[in-house]
Amino acid sequence: MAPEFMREKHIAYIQSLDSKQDELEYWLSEHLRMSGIYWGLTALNLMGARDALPREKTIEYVKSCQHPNGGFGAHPGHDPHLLYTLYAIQILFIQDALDAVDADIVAKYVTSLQDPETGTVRGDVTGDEVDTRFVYAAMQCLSILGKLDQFDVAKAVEYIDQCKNYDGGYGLVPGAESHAGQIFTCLAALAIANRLDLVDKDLLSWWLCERQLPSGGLNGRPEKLPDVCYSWWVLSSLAILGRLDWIDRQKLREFILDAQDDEQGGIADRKGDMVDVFHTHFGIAALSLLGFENLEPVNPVYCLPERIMGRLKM
Amino acid sequence: MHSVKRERTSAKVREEKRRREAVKIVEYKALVDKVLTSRKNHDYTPGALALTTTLLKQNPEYYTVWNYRREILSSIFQTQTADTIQSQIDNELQFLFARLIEFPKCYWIWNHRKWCLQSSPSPSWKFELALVTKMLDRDARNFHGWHYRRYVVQCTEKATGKSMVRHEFDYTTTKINANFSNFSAWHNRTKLIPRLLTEEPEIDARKLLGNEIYLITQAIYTDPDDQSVWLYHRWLVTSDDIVKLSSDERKDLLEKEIKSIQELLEVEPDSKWCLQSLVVYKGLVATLAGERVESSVHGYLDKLQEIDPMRKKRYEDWKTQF
Repeated sequence: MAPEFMREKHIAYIQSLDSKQDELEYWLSEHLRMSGIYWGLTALNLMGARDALPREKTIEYVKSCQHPNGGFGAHPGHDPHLLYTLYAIQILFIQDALDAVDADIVAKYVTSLQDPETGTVRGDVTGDEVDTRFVYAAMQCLSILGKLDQFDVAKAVEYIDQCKNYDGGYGLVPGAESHAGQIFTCLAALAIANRLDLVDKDLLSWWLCERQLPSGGLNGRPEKLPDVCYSWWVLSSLAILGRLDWIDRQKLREFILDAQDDEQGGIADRKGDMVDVFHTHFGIAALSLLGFENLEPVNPVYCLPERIMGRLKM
Repeated sequence: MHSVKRERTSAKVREEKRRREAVKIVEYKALVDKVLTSRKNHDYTPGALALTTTLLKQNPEYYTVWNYRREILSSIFQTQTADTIQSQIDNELQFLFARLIEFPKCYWIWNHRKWCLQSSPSPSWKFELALVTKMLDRDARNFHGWHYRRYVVQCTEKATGKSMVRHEFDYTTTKINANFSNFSAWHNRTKLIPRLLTEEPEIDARKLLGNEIYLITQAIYTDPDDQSVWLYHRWLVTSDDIVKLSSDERKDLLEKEIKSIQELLEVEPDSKWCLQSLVVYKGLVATLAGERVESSVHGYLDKLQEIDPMRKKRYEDWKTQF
């Protein structure tokens, strides 16, 4: 029997994260501060604890991470990067505080990362690393800001299509192996672009549902270990394809619940491991998609509470 | 945290840990302060570089410090000869190698390595290939490793003007012979074979297809529960990527494979991948022949529902297609 969902403990765990200054790990993980707030805030919202983090303080913090070029860093003093820019915008969107920043300058930063020739997107202005994750991050960010018209969506879609493999999945770049995380970002980007017609739905859904292992947990690639974070990437992809029922929901639920820490709250990658806010977020988001634990619904494309999606400027 | 075991500790142990860490935190914060201050002061001296070395050894995820490190190196390179730049980059690559062994999944280390090679007056792609081969010997499925390998190959091809498709095809064969269950290697093969056929027009594509099917059949018999081999098998017998078969030829191929899988099914009656493949291939044969699908397919799907109840709904949906 899997333990019950420990809502109160998870809320307390997320709330406690910023008070762990006496742990070295707190300082070593500064590069995860912005992402951590997004993960924590989303999980709290899904658990109905919307006000569990101080709203004004959060908004001020996000603003303090913005650079003059419009991009956001992981923490004050950290360089701007597309991923943290997305997290920043998602946090402000959840807090209904998008007006705290200048949307034009953020959009300008994000669109400047797209290569007009190939449609690819770089992670930051200094590097030339491209990745399908970045295409998704750029598109979601601009979509929230209502500025997607400033982005070459058709070129980006063409690029994603080049990343498609023989198994129906998608990789990091053209030629790269299918991976559940990359599949989620590609599917979600295609969903935002309204181009899911390009997906080989049956073949990909098959590959995705085979990620479930006898333990109930999901892995990210064939013959790999299960991990709670894949609960989200595989499950949201199946949700986007309308095939959530192609896996055993109850067994996945048990796998996630087993990974809870019954003392301090939070969810780990699998049973018996150390918890962190990343796996706590993905575990809770997956439970929400599965329709368990009386959680608020989550949007599979944006990984945000469904409740706020109506605010999206079309 | 990935694969870090949870430990229940007593208040006393926790207090000791807290005390130990308190010292380290002070040191770490002072180091971070120093690095950020020297960046603010545009300090691009070897001393500043050494500070980033100390910090990145402790925390390779601090991407801002990698950015600063590149600023320092770029500035130093401006006044140096090609030889000195090269020896500096060689040091850098050595530093990175040690970091990769410790943190093989950290994006920033791989990125910085690429930057070094792009900045190198005479990059040794041969060394990089040997390095990534070693990394993939340690973990044959490392996503970053395979990604980096494809990058190194691309750069080598660009530098030498010679294709490495044959070399890489042979590499996947070596990896597969070492362990059939390597989805990454099979994947790479699906990308390499079409290029191999274009570049070596003397290859008989039908013969190559036959050889591949022979190889994968051996793999399937070795471990019929392994997904990667079945996914590759499906690619071989259903796609036109290797050779465009006429519909009669395709039908013959499918029927031959169906027969061989049925033989395996007799030995392994509960093999779900045998059953799934039979459903796919029989469905395709029926489509090619313009006929109704064999009734045995329904039996296979019933059996699949019974032996693989987690995906019951998937098989139910599948049934509606026939």
